[in-house]
Amino acid sequence: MTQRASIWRDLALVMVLTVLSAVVFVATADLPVPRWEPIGPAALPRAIAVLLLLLSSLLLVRRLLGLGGAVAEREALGYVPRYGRAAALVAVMAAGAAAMNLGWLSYRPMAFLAVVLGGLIVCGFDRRHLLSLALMGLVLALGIHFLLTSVLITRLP
Amino acid sequence: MQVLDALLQVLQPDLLLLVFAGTAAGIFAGAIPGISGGMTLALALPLTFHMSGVEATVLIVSLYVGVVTGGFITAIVLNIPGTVNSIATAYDGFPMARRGEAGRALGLGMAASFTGCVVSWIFLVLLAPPLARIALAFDHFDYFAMVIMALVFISTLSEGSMIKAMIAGLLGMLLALPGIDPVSARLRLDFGIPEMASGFQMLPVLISLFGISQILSDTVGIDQKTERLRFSDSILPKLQTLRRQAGNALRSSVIGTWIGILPGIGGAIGSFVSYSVARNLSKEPERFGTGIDDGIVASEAANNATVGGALVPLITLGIPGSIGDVILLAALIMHGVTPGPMLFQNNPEIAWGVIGTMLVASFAILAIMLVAIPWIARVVNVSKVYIIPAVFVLSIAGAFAINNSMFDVWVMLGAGLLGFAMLVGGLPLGPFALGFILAPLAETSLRAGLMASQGSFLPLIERPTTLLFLGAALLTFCWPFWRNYQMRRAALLRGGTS
Repeated sequence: MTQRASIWRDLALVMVLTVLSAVVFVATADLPVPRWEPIGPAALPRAIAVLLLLLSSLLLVRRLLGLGGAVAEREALGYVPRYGRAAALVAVMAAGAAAMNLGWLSYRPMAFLAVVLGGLIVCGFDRRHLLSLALMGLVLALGIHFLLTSVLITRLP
Repeated sequence: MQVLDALLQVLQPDLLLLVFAGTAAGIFAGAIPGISGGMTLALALPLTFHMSGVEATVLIVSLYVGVVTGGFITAIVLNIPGTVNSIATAYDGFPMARRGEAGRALGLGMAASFTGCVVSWIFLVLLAPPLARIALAFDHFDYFAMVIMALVFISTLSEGSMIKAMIAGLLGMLLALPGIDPVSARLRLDFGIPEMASGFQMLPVLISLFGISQILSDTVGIDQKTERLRFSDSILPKLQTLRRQAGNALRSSVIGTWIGILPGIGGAIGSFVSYSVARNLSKEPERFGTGIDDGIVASEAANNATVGGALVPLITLGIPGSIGDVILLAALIMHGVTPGPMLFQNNPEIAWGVIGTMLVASFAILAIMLVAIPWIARVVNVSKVYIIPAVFVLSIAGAFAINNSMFDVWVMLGAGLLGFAMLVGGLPLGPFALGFILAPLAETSLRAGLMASQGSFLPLIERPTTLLFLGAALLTFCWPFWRNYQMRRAALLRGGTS
């Protein structure tokens, strides 16, 4: 990550924290004033929001003064970061959870498909891994289901 | 006598089996780069649902000791530490392995790990019961101050920016607040979502924090080149070598234990401090980093000793000393056990179970390592292409099984994305986890203390224990700024005189 990207990353963090603090203030606005205790249920969330604002301001000031933020040049380490693959993996995870939530798939087929698809995404769709991923998917789907439902007596969809 | 009872309890066949299973699984998981200690422990939590408190404790402590030990295998043979605790081990372990002495390096690491575990266990036995008796006198304000101290400690000593570490701790605290307020029983920060009424469960958040965020991070760096592990020489260290390293191993174990006792300071710091002490005391400091015995022994004895050290504040005060302790704390809370000064009175079988397991697990690790290192060598070559989807399907099953609720699965995925965003944004996960776990204790302690003092904050500066904890927190917070100021001043003075 370059110095410039690192500055933008910190600025984005400051913005997210500012919005989050504002959300906390709005969400705790309708909490009642305490009657039988010195501080009420809104005190800690608000105190945290104030501290987050203070710390993010400090981060911003340090950045503007050119202090801190020494970061490793990841691209110089000899590999290209695969953010696209991570995003695709998240999509597979979300799709798997949604399919279970909507009742389209039970745990076993979802786990099998997630292992095969997830593994293929991670390896960049290298077909040499397909058979071993399918085998692993089958073992994990059946094995985890058996362990949780038959041995540990919990429920899975 | 209670120590003997504890050891006999853990030596019962069913618990002994759990010790061996836990340590073996921990060593394997710790040895695989990409499977972190926190992730292993978090993924194991669902397995403890139907166990008794003692069984769950025995399994988690065994896993914990195993994970810390297993991390040194790949650090030595591949120069890729399985866990952060073993980074300093790689400095000398890898050069020694490249000279064709991987077996010797692994044997030294194994012996040093065992020494570290046993020495820290002795401190645990000696310190935990009296400390718990002292802690019985603590009041609400003391607990609040102790949580603040733990958060400041872990933030100051986390990797990277201290400001970001504190932000991470506060975000963790914030995530623990939605749901029913523990004092007034009113709903807060639930945003009108019925499932939010019970707040975010510990398990999905911890699983995703250390599991999902790690696999996403590994996917981003999937093209990193790794070598295949191989070695051929004997792993049994010579008696003469062991005698020569005895002093170093003992000193490093004591350093590791005391660093472990400080809340929030993990094995990585312990091994670095011990490694630098060994180098400073050595007659040949220039040989450190070239593959010498002293470096491996110093690092491994210290990082294993931090495990026992970190258990002291956990079982006596209920304050986790490391990420592993955070998960152990979560496991105990899930089983209705509250660690703290009353643990020795209310649940002595758990308190002594932790202590007994620590020692038995150390011997189990020694036995497993002697037999299984050649097999572990094969397992650690497993590609991340297979690890990443396996962690995902395990996480989904674990998150769902807590309450049979898909809401927890979505929480897990959301927290995983948050954890990944934090990793990308340079926010460390340790302070976040500690903040998430300790926020309820901090809030209830402060509010109960204020009710007792009729709204007065003065006890925070009037009570000696509270003042001691807050003073330590303030000094730790100010120290990096003071050190930077001194360094800049020295640089300016040097510039002025030259």
